[in-house]
Amino acid sequence: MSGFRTQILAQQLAALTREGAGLFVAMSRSALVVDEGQYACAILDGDGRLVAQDQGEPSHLAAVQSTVAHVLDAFAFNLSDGDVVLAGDPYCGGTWGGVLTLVRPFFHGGDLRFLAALRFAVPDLAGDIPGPYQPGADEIWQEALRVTPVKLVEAGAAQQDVRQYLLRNSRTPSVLDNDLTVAAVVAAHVGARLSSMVGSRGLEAVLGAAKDRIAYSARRARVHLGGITAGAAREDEITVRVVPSDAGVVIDLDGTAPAAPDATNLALGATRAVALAQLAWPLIEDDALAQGLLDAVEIRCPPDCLLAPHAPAAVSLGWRVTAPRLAATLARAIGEAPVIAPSAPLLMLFEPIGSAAESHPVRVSPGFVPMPGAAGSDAAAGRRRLASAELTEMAGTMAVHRREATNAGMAAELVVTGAGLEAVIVPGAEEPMIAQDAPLGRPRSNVLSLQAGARISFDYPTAPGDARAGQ
Amino acid sequence: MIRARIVAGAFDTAAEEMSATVTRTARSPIFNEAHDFTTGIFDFKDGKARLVAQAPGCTLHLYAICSAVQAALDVFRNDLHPGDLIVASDPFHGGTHIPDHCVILPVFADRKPVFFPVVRAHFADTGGPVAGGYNPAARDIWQDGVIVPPLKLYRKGERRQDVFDLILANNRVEHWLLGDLDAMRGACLTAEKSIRRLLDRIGLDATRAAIEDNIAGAERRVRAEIARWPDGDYFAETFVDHDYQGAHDIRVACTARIRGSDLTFDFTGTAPQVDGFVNSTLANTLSFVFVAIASCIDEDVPVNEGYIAPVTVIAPEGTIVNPTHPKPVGNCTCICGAEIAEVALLALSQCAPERVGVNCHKLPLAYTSGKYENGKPWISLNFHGYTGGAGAAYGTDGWGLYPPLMTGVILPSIEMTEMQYPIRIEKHEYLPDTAGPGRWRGAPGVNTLIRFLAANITNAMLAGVRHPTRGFCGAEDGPPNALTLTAPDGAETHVTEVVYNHALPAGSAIEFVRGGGGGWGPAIDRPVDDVLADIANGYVTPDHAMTAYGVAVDPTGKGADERTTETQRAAMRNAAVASAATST
Repeated sequence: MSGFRTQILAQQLAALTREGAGLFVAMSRSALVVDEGQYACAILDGDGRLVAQDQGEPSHLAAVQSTVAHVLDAFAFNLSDGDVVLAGDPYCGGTWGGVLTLVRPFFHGGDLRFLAALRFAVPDLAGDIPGPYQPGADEIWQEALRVTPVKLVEAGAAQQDVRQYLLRNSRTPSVLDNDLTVAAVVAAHVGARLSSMVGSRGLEAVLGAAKDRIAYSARRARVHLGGITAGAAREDEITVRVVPSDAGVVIDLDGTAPAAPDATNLALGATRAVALAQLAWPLIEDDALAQGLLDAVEIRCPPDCLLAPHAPAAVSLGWRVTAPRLAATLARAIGEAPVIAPSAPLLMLFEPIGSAAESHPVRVSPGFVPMPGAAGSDAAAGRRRLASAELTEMAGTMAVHRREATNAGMAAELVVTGAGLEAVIVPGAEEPMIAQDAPLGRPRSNVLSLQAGARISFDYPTAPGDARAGQ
Repeated sequence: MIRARIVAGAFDTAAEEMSATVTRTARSPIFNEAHDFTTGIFDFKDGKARLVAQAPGCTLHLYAICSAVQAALDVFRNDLHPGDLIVASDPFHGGTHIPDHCVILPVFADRKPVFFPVVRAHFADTGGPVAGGYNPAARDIWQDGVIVPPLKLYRKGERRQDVFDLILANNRVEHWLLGDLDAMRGACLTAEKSIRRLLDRIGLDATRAAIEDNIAGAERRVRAEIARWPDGDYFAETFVDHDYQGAHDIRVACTARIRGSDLTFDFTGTAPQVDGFVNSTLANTLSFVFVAIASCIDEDVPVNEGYIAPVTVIAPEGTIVNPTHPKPVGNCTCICGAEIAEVALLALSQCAPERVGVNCHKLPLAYTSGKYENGKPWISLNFHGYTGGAGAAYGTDGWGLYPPLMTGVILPSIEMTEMQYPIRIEKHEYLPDTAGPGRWRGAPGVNTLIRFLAANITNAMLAGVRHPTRGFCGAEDGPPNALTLTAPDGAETHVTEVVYNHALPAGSAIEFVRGGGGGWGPAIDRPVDDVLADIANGYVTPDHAMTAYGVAVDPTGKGADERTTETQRAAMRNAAVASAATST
């Protein structure tokens, strides 16, 4: 097959991940997926090498491939046509609790040829506080159910007991149920399209296209990363040394502090994502994310450190607290501006704990951290949508009282309209200010009790640095 | 009849073999030292899982097994194969609190699953917000721990490694759990062999017929006992101290309704469900009612489905004795299980006073977690601190160490405990003047001091203070419990209700004061010689003998001053009469 046709097929594989991601977002019921962009769709080859991926935000950049690697380790010789495997564990290639990766293998001629993967955040998967953030956690079990690789469907037969296990351990079972179904449907759709491509173009051509994409991303990575000069930087607990290598670049984190006794640790999957976003964002923007790029950014880190903790360290705040610090340190090391801004102030809002069999935790942050030199937010925001004032009001719990650009950045104020709500302030940014007459706190808990009429103010100071510096 | 007894004996023996297997092969101290588990064998008839036999175990597990097995079979009844093994712990589907997991093995005959050996055991951890499965800060079921709806661990004899891994990953002490799950399966397989031998010998039909005889026989015995009690409605109430979330004096009300040989416990009037983790699932409520009944029935009546057949329980939905999902229930096997059994006995004490007693289960609960030197976690339920406090019954003083609701749970050996944990038990002794006075007195309270050689996290949950263990039929209540955490420098934290995730450095200690049991009958009816014996044994001081029992000790300290005793008792009797008249 000509190089031209191979390129077309390779682009079709990439387009297929975009189509899968689009389908998933269109059918998901999770606000984390639809509004926050916490999803990814990927195609991997039979060896688990990433062929193409589309994601709503960058935390998934490395996690899909590394989760699939764990899935293949777990089911090395026990995968068959019709299987659907689910995994969602920071210590099985993931980033933090409550983000699931659904994997569907595709066989041709009796051999595993491709895997389709959907990765998505669920609004709740047990843990202490509704939602994904656990400010009081110091171990993984406090944060969410650990979903080690497990078959949801085995040779076409649904494993209803496993599904029930997941649903029983979620405060948002109907959303989870829907999104599991949607992910499986989308994975099947991607598989059907792959089968169609194999049928019309032949297996060798499609495999060749996959190989070509991986090689292409490796070439692009070599060229792009070759332009990075060696450098080092240190910021409190994070030490970074960037060393060019034949394949791309080595990021040596030796000297980084040990794992923290709280939830600010960054799981290795998330650390890799920050490195990829910081060092290779133009390639990711240019659709060159594949195994070649993943392999080109090698992470070396001391055991059980802040940026690669061992189980059972808690990790649910790592992306908010530690990822921006790592991005900034990396940026300093290579003389560029950080692509991940300090996190925006955030509140998780939910019905009183224990009051409802089906809860609706909402991520509340009505603005964004402006990036100097950019029209909006940073790379970490991905495809996040800023909720409109109308939609916020229609949800029935809050109204946007004020949202405006200021000299210092952006400011917003919400008024609580629902009665008897509870909330937790998520660390990682300036805390939102809450004004209400009644006491906010509860004994032995970081959960706040909000009254109708309470006013919550958010400040979003403009991020330091200039996004254009890296362009 | 003879065959029925042989079959009953065979099943009982099989259940006891299961129990021995778990004890000898399990890995966690809660299993192999404390024996916090129960084994039983079920059959399945007309869509209902029926208890056929059980081994003496932790009494509060007994009837709870039934609901859990029923829920598991409801899920898998059309998807069972030889070699399957089910694990389940779902409080709102037949469970009690999350730590108590059931492992169930179907035994096939004539191509059908006919018997189900079951082990129900308390897992040392259940994932979730706190180590150990008791989260006093819980306000929903997910804060109690990880729920395990019925899951197949083995399918057709083959381990589902992915499901196994999932269960282990969500447990802090997977190094214990792995062995414990194998022990539970081993116990079920042991029972399967015994059942097969029985079926080979006498056949399925004869076995089933014998089981029907045994169940009917147990029902006849229980009905005969109930029929001896006068028909009527007998109301009682008791109170839970608090729910650890701010609610206090939570009412548990019960009317025991007797009509012939039928007995109904109606909990109408019980307080609405609360925010804290003292709500009792329906299965737990049934289980504690069963415990109350069991303490009123002759102990030679075989415990099987017939035992509970004459009893109906009405537990209004939305109350603490039948909460709605997702209310937390983590402490229900202590509180308010204790109050459920207590109120049922208080109600029955009005119609069958000589049958009730042995009330007690309001524990000063404190459990501790830490890490061994190799980094692996340990979790200790500090069982020694819960000993003592058995109530009296007609004809006997409160006895022993563990409360009767935990019979089958064995006091772990202090030496083994000190080998298994970085713990030293420095004190474990009866306290004088802590038995609820009565014609028959409660067991004395116990003072236990546990010192920790390693830093740890302790959660302490006090109960039985505002409303200590009740006495029966005119006897006094037991005294309240107390808990104190002591830092190495001697600084003390007296627990009033709860201490949450309290960091204790190495050298710290927990001191438990387990209040004694309540008495039975008026204390002034206690024979003087028995009071003198209590003085001689150090259970009662002379001063307390005078104030509580009206017994004056003579100058030798060994005999009674008869005249003073007579005068004192007469005064106390008059005061009691006057008090009763005032209250009416």
